[in-house]
Amino acid sequence: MSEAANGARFVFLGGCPRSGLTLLRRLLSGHSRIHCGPDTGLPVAIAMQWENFTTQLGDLHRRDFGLQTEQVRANMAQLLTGLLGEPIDGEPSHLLIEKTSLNILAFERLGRLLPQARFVNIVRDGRDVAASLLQRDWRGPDGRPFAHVSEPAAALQYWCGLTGIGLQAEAALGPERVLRLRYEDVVKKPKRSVMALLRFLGLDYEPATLNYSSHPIELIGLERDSLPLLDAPLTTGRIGAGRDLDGLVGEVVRERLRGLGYGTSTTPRRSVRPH
Amino acid sequence: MQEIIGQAPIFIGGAPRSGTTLLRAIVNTSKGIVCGPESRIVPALCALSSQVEQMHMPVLEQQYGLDADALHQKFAASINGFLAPLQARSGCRIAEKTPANVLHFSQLRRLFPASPLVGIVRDGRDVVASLLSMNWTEAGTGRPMAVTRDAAAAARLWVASVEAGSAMRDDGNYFELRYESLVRHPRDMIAGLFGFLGEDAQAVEAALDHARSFNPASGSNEASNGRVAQPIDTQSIGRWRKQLDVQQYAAVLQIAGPTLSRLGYV
Repeated sequence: MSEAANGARFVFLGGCPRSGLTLLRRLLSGHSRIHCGPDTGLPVAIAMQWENFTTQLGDLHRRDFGLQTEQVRANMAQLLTGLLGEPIDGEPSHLLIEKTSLNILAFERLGRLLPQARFVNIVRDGRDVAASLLQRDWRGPDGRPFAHVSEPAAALQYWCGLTGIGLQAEAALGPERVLRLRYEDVVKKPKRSVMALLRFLGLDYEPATLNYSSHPIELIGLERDSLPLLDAPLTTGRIGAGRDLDGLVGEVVRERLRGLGYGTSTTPRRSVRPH
Repeated sequence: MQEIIGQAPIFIGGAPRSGTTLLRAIVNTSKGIVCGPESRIVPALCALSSQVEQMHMPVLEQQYGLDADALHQKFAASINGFLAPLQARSGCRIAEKTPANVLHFSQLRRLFPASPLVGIVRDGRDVVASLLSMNWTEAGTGRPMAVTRDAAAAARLWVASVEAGSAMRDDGNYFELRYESLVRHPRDMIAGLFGFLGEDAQAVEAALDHARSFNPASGSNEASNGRVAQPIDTQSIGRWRKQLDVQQYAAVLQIAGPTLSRLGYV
């Protein structure tokens, strides 16, 4: 199987929006063997289209067009890696990392589409995520704000739903292909977290990852929402930002929080200088 | 990738129930062309490529080194990859017939600059009458498709399909024919089509007897196979007179009236 069809040098980040994906892009972009671009939405769109072809038209394609299941997979895999892969063409030791947060919805499918791709499931305390979501002005095509950015209970439920999908993907693909990374660990112990991530990716640690202020990147679209935070030193000050929402946490969300290691909200207030 | 196919693939489209399956049967009589039943791959990938182009092109260009030409080439290569097994099996030039191709002809032109595009147009009133007799369901929900239950929805689809074809009229490699002319004057119409596709007079003769070679068992997702397996006739022209009620007819005229008029149907 060709590299373009197996996705060996492709890594997909995903998680509930406002969980620290752009921060991670900021860190990883400093690595000399990583190209981590902004959100494209392509991985989810292509994975979904592949699934539609397979489930709805697979028999027809086999019978009338001689298209085997593996050919359909390889073709769609090559489309995805071909569209994103130019930055690592001719650089056999480099990795391409794509960070559309809602990749999380398609981790399992992407894992089957690209059998050697790897995934990073970024999680953050759901109360803090909800608090951040509620500060967004994200609206649907009808001009009305989405429920998950305007109603606290919906925001918590949104986080719960997406983290649940992420956990399913972890179980389906296994720890060799999916690394779970906690936002809180990244900001509390950035060097240790980045080293663990790079080890998972088979790369050596490079100090430039934490000295991110020395390598500015262009933030695109919704990434700009995080601009004030991303230009500042890493801080733990956002941990506990959603503590006021704790009273709204229902049983299911509480269980998910516990499952991911989040107990009582805490509010550390300490900045961590880049190493 | 087009070199692998040999010649640029031919794409056939039109509003559903306009005679695209008849066109497939006619084209398939050529010894040099093979046209499978509707794969539905082309409109899906065209829609995806258009969506990517409209929403993500600046990001892809600036951050991933992919410009619009490269994007078109990647999607064309993907579509060719889907068509390649049939081409390898048949050794023939590929024609791909999915009615919804017509909605993406302008994008197909960007993906396949050398491909012949063939559109077929039929009286919108007959198209709507035929659509309303279909039992098609949505793949995701299993519910009946709106265009098979609602004359207005069917008329809107017809208008969108016809206008998408008309938008290609200045394209030198676009050929449009009318269903009514095809079934009334098959020899002349097939000769015109085959001349456009580079087929000879012998191929025209074979196409006039398409029923001899058409396999109605192929293409289980095509509703017209039984009908197309018969010799060409004009029986379906004007079927709307018996099949559309007053309200349905009014809905069609309200939505499709200007287009029907422009095309000379009313």
